[in-house]
Amino acid sequence: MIVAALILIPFIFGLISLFASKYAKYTSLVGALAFATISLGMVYTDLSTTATLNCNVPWVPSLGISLIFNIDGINAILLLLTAVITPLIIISSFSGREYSDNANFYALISFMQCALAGVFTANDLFCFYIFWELALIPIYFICAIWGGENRIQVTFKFFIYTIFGSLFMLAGIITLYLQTPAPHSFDWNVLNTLDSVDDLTEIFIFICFSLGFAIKMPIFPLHTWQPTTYAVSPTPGTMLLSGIMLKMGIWGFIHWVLPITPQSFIAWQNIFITISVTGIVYASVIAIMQTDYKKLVAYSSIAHVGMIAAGLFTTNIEGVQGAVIQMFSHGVNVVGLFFVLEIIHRRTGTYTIAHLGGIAHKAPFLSVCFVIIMLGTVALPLTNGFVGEFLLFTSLFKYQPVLCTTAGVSVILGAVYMLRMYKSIMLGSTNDITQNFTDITFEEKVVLVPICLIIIAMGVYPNMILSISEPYSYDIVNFIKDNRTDILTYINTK
Amino acid sequence: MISLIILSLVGLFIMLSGLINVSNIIATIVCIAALTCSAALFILDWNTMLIYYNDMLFFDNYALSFSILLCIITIFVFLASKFYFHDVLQYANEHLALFIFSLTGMIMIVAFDHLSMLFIGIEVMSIPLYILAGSRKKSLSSNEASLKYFLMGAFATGLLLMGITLVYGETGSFHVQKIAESVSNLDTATQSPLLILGIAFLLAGMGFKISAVPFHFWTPDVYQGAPTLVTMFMSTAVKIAGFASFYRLLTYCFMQAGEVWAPIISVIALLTISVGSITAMYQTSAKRMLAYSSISHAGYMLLLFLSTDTTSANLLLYYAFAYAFSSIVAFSVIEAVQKTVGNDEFEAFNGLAKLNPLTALFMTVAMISMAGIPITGGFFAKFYALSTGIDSGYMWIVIPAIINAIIGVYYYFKIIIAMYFKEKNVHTNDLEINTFQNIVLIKCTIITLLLGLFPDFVFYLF
Repeated sequence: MIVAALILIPFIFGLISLFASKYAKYTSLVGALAFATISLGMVYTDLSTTATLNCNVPWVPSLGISLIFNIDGINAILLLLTAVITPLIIISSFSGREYSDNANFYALISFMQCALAGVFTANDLFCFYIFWELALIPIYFICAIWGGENRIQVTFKFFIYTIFGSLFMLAGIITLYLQTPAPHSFDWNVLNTLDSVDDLTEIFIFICFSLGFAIKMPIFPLHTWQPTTYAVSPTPGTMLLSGIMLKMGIWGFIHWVLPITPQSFIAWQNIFITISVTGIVYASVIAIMQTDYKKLVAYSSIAHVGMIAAGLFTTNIEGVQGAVIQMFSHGVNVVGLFFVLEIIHRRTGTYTIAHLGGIAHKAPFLSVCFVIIMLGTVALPLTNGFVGEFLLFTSLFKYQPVLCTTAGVSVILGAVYMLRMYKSIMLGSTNDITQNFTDITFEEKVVLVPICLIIIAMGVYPNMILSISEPYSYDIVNFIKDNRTDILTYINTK
Repeated sequence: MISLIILSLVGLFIMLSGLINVSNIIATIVCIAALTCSAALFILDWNTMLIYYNDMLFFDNYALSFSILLCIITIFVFLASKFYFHDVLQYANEHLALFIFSLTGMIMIVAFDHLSMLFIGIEVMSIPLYILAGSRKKSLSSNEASLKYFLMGAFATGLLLMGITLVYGETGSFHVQKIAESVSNLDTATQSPLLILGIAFLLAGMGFKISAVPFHFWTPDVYQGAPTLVTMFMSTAVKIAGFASFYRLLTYCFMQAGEVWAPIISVIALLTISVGSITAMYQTSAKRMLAYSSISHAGYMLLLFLSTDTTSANLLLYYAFAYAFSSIVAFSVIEAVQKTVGNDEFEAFNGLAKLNPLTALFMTVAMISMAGIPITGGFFAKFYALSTGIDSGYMWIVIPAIINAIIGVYYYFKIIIAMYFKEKNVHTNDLEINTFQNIVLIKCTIITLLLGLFPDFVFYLF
């Protein structure tokens, strides 16, 4: 029942925030902190005590829908990510003039957190879909109300794009649902053990699901909504989108695609990995060309997600574990980066890299934080990014050395664009815009210091994440391995 | 049955009360009381399966549940009627009576057990609507709507009558059960040209009433031209009654002739969904957009006809519930906006969220429900339509239906975008919404959300 509490807490605090006018930011923060306390406590207790953790209540008996919420080692990491990042996002928005006194803004963030917790823990496909859709509405309103120039068109494109994916996912969900034996069910355990699905149906389901998840992540040819949306959204919205929301897509692949349509996945594995690797290189090259620092980070995010996807799709243990830890690291790093850039934007009013320079002289504390976060992003050893990238590259190398080398180019390119951005923004001499730059305030330190600590702590002792997810990652790897042997024996006997 | 008599008598009295200058408020209260009364009587008749007038009407639970829904919708329409009766103050009571007469016709067609009753019911339902559509006597578009509706409606009734005659020629009866018997005695329904032609004419006739493509051309003009309250009534009650009787006609009479009508219905469904939503995308007027979107919804409801399962009547009822209550909200808000701003273009909604946050919220829930996004009734309605389509093997309709649902999100969100994200117009004032209209909005929104949270409760009715 703890999971139910985790989903309800942000919802209740969201409702309170809606009517709390000036105090909304504090009620929302209290909710997020309560969420963080519970999930931290939960992750480091025994995850196998399912009875106290999980929840299973019938909802629509005539359709076989139940409110099933489970915690395993992988979604525990994602809950932890949500728990750590949401309070930081809320605190970081205190100094944003446009929304800091707006009750609706904080209520929407809390509702968003509720929906995300639901998506990560739902073990009933229908609930998963409901929360998946519900997560879209608050973020759409956040971005479209408080966004920048062209916000209406850009966010509407994002909205239609994701709805496109999720409605196809709905078609896949219904098809899958109708394949279950007579009183149909959406339960993951039922769907997982389904073996009477014919090939064509399974491929249809697989494509529908992949479309929905790939758009959300986003993987290379479906990414076109992402850079503009990140650039236009208010920074808390961008943080939510890039820090937590894109993990919904990756989690969808881990929990719903791999276990339910393993054979179609194995058939399409090569294509998926190749597309992901193409996306990594493509996004890195485009990131180098960017003059707008928010867009640069947006493209770098596509590259990192492409790397996570490529590693995950290899389905060996390094790949899955690497994807899990990199999901966490990427969430922390990208939120840190966007916040640093937001601080710079608040003080200078520009998004163009070339207009800045010499901030390091004026704001030493900020520049130290920026360096740590940036090194985490470019995966220097002893930072969190390194652990994930190392595992992901190992997995890709085991799968196909050529692809690994191609993807490896992105590490170099990543260092190039990140360091160049740092150089032009922070180093050199000050100019008219930056000469009155002030160092960061206490509120901003409250956000940046924990992020820097997490980056270093995870780099030094990655086992605090890896040990939680390891048994569950092995389950997935072995499951896919069994299916691959099945297919091979089937082909051989024929 | 008593409720049918009550409604007819109340209609007559209200019509006469115009002569002695009974105030409109009293007449409305009497009407709402009569409607509540008849809804209650329908509930009391539950499970009794009564047959009246030599098998002319058959009130099974199917007929009763739709009759109750129609009564409730009419009550809401009356409650939301402030502006309408303000405009036609001179003959207000007569207009009320016309609504009641139309409702009487609807109850006849959802409970028909004899094809002549279907025909009479449709006439009783339609003739008051022809007058109501033209009730803004000095407005050109209202007159155009009335004339168009009348001509098209009369033509459709002609087709329907032709169909009934041909079916009589083949089966020798007007009675629903006897028709069903003789249809099932045929070796293959496809070898009887009279029956095929008869069913085709019936489909065309009913297709006009539910505005299915290619019989939809009257819909946008009539919906836009008629006073908004009449449009609300037509797009909810009239349409649902049309669907209920169409479903009854096909499943009660021609269940065994499925191979004749199922292919036609499937093509019509595909066309209706696509044409409705693609045309809705290009509209600039919210009211006209809703007219086209109601065509698109008709297509989704037609998908439910293709089910091989007997429970699809429940699903049709559910769809009707979900669609009706969000439509009432949408049209009420449009009417209020139209009165305040002067037109019903999307720009008229600009900045509504800042002026009337609550009304904007209700409208948002209605639009989200119509677009089929959880946790509203519209989502489950769409879910049922799509799963029926997939279950019965009509994947070639479901994929276009999904693409059209995405287009649907596009045009429904135009209103939400205007309300929340655009700056308000210079001359926009606070909307005038009275307590009764607020009650309607709140109740409909609550019902929409309840339908989305507990979709099962509709199914316990059967």
